[in-house]
Amino acid sequence: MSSNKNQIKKVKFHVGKTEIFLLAVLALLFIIFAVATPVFFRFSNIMNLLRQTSIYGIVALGMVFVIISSGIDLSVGSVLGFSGTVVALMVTNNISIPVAIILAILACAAIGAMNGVLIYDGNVPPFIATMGMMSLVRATLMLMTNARMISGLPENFLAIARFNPLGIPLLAIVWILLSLIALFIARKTVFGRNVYAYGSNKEAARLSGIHIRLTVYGTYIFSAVMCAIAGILITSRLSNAAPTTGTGYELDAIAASVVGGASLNGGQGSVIGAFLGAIIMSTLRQGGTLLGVNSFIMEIIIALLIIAAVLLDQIQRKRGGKKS
Amino acid sequence: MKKKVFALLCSLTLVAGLLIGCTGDDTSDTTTDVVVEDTAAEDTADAGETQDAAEGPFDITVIIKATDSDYWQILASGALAAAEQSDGMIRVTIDGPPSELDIAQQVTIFENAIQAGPDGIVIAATSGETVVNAVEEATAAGIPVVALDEYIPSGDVVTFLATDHAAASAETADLMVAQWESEGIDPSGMDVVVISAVAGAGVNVARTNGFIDRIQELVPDINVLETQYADNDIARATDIAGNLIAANPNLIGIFGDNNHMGVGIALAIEETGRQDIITYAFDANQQQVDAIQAGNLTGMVVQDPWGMGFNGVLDVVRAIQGEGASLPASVAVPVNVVTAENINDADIQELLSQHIVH
Repeated sequence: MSSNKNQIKKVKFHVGKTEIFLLAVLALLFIIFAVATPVFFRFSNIMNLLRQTSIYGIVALGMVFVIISSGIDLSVGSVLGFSGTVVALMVTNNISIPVAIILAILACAAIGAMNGVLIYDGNVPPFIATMGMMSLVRATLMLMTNARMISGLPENFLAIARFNPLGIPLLAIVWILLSLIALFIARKTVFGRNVYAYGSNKEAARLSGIHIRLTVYGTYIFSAVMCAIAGILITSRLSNAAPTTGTGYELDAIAASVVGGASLNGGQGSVIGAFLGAIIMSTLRQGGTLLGVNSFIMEIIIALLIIAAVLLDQIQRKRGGKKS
Repeated sequence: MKKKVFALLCSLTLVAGLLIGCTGDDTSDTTTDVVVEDTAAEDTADAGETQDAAEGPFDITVIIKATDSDYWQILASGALAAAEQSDGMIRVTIDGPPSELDIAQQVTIFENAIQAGPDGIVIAATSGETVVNAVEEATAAGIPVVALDEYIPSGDVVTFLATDHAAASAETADLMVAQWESEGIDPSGMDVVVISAVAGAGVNVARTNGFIDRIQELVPDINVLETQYADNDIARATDIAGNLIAANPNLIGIFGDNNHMGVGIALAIEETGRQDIITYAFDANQQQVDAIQAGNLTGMVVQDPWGMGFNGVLDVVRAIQGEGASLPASVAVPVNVVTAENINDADIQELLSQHIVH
């Protein structure tokens, strides 16, 4: 048991180092782009960057919990699209905006719970369970909308994404607030500690009496709720709900988590890491556009970054393993 | 444990059953057979002229690329209108896979249609190469084939009706240059850019190159920035357009190669307040109509899928009647460029009402 405690401590220390490394990478990127183009460091552009990152930054917050629990959630893009369409259908049918938002979040939480049931009670591997849910939810969405966009959303709903208190987009504020909440859950709550414990060693977690069912359900419900919020925000920003919205976002969210130091083997990763991972990826994308870099070269750079992040992680682990 | 799994499976099956049950008769069925009923009208005097070559009624199968998209549904309604206006001489059956990704399924549908033995087939192939064998099989069986939208590399195709994507995009370049001129803007040395939905897809490449080639021809020293690709995602198109506008103070024109790109570009124009930038996009939707009226999008290219479906059916009937040889090998279906100037015209409103289904 004492060795187990030791391990957890070491993990935390390692995460801290990753975060410092990520901050250094981000600072370097900022310096490069600021020198290369005067536009980059303008207040309006930094706010633009935050707004562009916020949607999948929020999705990444849920994803990092799932990855820490040694799971994966491929359904996030579909759930995001589902949330956007459901909320758009409700507000265009004169259901009040707060009610529509709450119902959309609850509907998505139910999808997250279904993921949890399949994975915990059904023993279906998370990859398969959430892949199935990804197709199921997306196809349901296509049926519900006849594969058509929903537009004509009320002004008050569109105002959500257009609200910029002190020049800071509300989308970014929501993302930062949710990040703080996620950080609190990960560090200060029993649930957060259980996610780490379950992810690093399922058997040990079971033996030490952790409520595994609640941990698994909670993880996938949290992920789905994050997607629900992201889906509502993106619908407000785009002024419409396309049934294809969110396609491929699962890969961006996984990439942000992994760049942020999360390990698909579970037990490792952090909310701050996912936050920084998301912002590093979108800084690269935006910087590439600002500098007029060929977009395929930019994708190659991002791909190399993702591979390098995991490679570094593996090398560090090997070294750590030899020492102990 | 086993019991639980069983219960789970049962409930899932139930849910699936419910979902399918609820929506079964909406759009999920891939074969929407609409057969125009024969009526007594056939026997009236005006049927006399057309009964010389081949006897009607003609059964025409129209195979579209996907049943899940407005564009193909409009094409289908054009084909059905040809049947409705024929006094029972033409009967049209619409078929097609649910999604444009189902290339193999469309081939299967085509092959099954040949087995059913209609008098003629009109097909918008998802991939021209994959249906060449089926076209030849149909022709051998005496069923003429008319190709719509996607070129089929086979000499057996009676005629090919499609939008000339490159020419239509070049038209927006003409309009853009004319507008700069009228506003007293000298485009020499200034920047333009294309935001494309996908890299490497035939139609998108034709649109992108059609625009770039013409704008460089008209303004040789204009600076065409690197084309940006947005994964057919509105949010990504918005971000890219916003970034391009921020980074390039000399940017005076943007072309989006489909309607999702157009919506994204218009949102970025709205967010940045840069209505001075001339912006055009391909294909129509309601968001772009709103954007044109609000001044956030200069114009959009509207294709005529309805006319394509209508004329495709009439052409295949001509082929059945033995006039196939007189039809041209290919026909460019004209497009309309809709701007704030003509958006309220009656004919444009009618065209848009076909495209935008509420």
